[in-house]
Amino acid sequence: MGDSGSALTISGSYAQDLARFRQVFERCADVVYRSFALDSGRNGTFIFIVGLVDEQRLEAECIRPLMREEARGFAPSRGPLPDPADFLHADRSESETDIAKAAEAVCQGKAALLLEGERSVTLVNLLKWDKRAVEEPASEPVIRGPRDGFTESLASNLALVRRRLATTDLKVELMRIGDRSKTSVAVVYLDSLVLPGVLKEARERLSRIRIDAVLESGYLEELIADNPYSVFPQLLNTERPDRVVGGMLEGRVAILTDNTPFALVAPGTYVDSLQASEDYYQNYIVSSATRLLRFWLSFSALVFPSIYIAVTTFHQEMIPTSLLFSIASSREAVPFPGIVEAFVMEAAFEGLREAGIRLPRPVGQAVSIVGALVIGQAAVQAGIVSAMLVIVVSFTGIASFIFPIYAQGLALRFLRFPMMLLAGTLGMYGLFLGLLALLIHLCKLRSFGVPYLSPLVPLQADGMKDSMIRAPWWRMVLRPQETGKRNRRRIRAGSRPGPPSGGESGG
Amino acid sequence: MIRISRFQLFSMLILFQLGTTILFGFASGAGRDAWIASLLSALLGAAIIAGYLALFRMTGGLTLVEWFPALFGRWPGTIAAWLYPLLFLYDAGRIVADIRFLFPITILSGTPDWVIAGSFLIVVVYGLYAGVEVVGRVAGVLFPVVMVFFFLEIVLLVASGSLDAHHLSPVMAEGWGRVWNTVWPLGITQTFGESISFAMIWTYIARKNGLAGTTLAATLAAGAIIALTDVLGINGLGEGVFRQMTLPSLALLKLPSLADFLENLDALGVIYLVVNAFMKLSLHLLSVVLCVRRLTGAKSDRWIIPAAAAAAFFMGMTMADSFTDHLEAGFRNLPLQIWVPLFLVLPAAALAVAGIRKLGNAKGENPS
Repeated sequence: MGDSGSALTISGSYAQDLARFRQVFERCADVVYRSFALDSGRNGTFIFIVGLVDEQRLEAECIRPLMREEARGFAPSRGPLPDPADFLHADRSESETDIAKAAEAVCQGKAALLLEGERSVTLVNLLKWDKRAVEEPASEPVIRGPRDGFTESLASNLALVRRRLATTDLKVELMRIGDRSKTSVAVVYLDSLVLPGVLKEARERLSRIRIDAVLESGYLEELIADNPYSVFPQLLNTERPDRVVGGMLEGRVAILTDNTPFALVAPGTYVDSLQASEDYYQNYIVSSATRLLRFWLSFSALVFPSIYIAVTTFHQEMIPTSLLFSIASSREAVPFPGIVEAFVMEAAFEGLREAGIRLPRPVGQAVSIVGALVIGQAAVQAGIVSAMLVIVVSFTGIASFIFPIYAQGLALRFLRFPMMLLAGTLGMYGLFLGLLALLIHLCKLRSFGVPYLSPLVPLQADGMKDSMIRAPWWRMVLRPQETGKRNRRRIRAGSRPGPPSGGESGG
Repeated sequence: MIRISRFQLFSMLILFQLGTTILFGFASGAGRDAWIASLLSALLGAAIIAGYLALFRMTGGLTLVEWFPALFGRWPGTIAAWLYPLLFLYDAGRIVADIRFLFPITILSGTPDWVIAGSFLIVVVYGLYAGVEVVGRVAGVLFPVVMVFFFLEIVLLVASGSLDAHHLSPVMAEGWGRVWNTVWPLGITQTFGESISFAMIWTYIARKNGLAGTTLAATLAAGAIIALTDVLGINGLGEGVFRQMTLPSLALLKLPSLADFLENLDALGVIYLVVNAFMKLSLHLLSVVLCVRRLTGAKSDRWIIPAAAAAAFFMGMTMADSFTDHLEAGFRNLPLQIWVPLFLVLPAAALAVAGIRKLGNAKGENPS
């Protein structure tokens, strides 16, 4: 009661409480105070943030009903005052007595109703802000497959997931991370499939985070990864709801973060990052061939320039004679050693790529023209690089963009440079040494306890059906071993289609 | 918890036993009968390894360095046990010396040997810090890779018509003499006797029931692969060259010429060399680390690993002045003076003690 003792609670004195709110929201120009007077003579104010609250609904569904009902309900002759929340048509409302908490709720987009004579404020949920429509994911386009991608709104992202899994088995756990940002983070999983260990680990690691703000799921990814010193992405990040759901069906946990279209899937392995969700929709034979191609190209993206450097600098005898002549003649005019030449070109290529992302759209044309000159005939004619290297760099460039998960491409594109350095100093020996070190690192790496190279290392015969190749659905009777330990069967055995057997075959 | 699958054990053992020796032409002293000598060595080697396995089982799954204190009593046993980390360290030093001499004469003629050995050891140390399990996984990746390349090599050699099967006959023309001379003592102690290192690793195998079968199968498979490389070498190079050359396996890689495009396979040689040397050096140093940790009761490997690696590096760099010196020591002195006592005599004694104890126990228990 004594308002000096609990300065932060609603005192019941309208003017005093309003002043307190104004004090809390001092210098917050985006806070709106919508005051009104009721027939009974009582004053009220809605406090909300402009742009987060649907003002039309506020008017029609909160203020107008209050005014209409008030005359009847609040007439002085009828006993105690009813709860003002009963008159509001808003979908969700709650009452709050703590001013600081109420102010926080206002910051999260609720409207606070302060009414004269009430000892609490009513928080009304009338969220509405401008958001992007569901669009095709920009970073993971497909030919065949759903075109809807996550947006920045957690609620609509969750709806996209729920639409694909219409079951109570789909669990969504909400938490808020970030002392200042209070970002909503949803841990989403299928209760009967998820590995309890992974789920527990995900919850624990997320709840351990103490940070002031989370602006993107990348923050969380870095804070919950198994090995903080690795260049490889240890959780899958994807914009595609079908991919997230596919992961959950294999017993994984998805982490959706508000304000970003990128969801995280844990655990994520190297093999996963070479699989596109389209692989599962297309013909399995073609998909298998595509996957093999991706494996081969991912390796090329890593070592192709290094092999060029090592072979031209140290091991000319390894090149077939006829090829050696054409390389030698194309390198004739080039004044630099192989490694300098390759570094210049690779750096130019990476620069172009970065410029391509960063540049404002109208200048795009200019960069592509210049790019064609830099990595092209002009550079060769100027005698800076050899024609052979232009081919090597272009091929590597193409190969480094085949990753369905962009972050994995980043990792390998970065690792190309140390490899080139090793090849330039120790030749093939250096290159193999580098690969060996990389292999050790990858064998050591784990994502939420699952070996990063599984199912290749440790080798699991059953896992081969969905790694380098994609077996037809009727062969993938069981879920992957590492993540789908519980409830392994996912399709009825013997689902292979065939012509109808028996009587009608005579026709 | 550390777990190594049987496939990983199999891979580790084969790569370990192929080692760098395979490049030198295993048992090339036996000329065109080298492959017979290899197979014989593998068979006898498998018998010796079966003895180690028996000891492992009879001591109830103890590691190598725990056998001797358990069987010979605390002090004499501990002293005997300490010989093994020293031996493994010396063997690791020999691999470093192999690396130091082999890379400059094969593919990196101008690079200083300490750079090569040093960079190699850095990677090995990285692997050791990652632990037994990771070394096992790496082996599980590298073994299929090496086998694919080996298969490719055979196909290319055959397709290019570089092989001539007549070089193999007449079989055993000069009798058992030279075959036996390569089998004893070098053939069975190098690689096969050295597999006693795995007595430190067996304890990490996830399922112990297939252990003996996997180990012996790997040994015989390694023997078969070694014999096959010998056959390829003899067929491709002829007996005289095969016997004289230091590195017949690498010379063989220069033979294929297919459609004027695939002309030589030196890159494969580098892969074999790097992979096999890596596995052998890692497993030797790993055994050193595991032995020292068991013997001293150290909690962590943090200081043992760099110390062992540094010791191996300095030994490797200083133990021989020239490649010839290095080979001389390896082929002449080492087998009889060091390997036979440590790989055969001591374990045999231990096996005898264990056997007698077992008999004693059985007799002691029966009357009561």
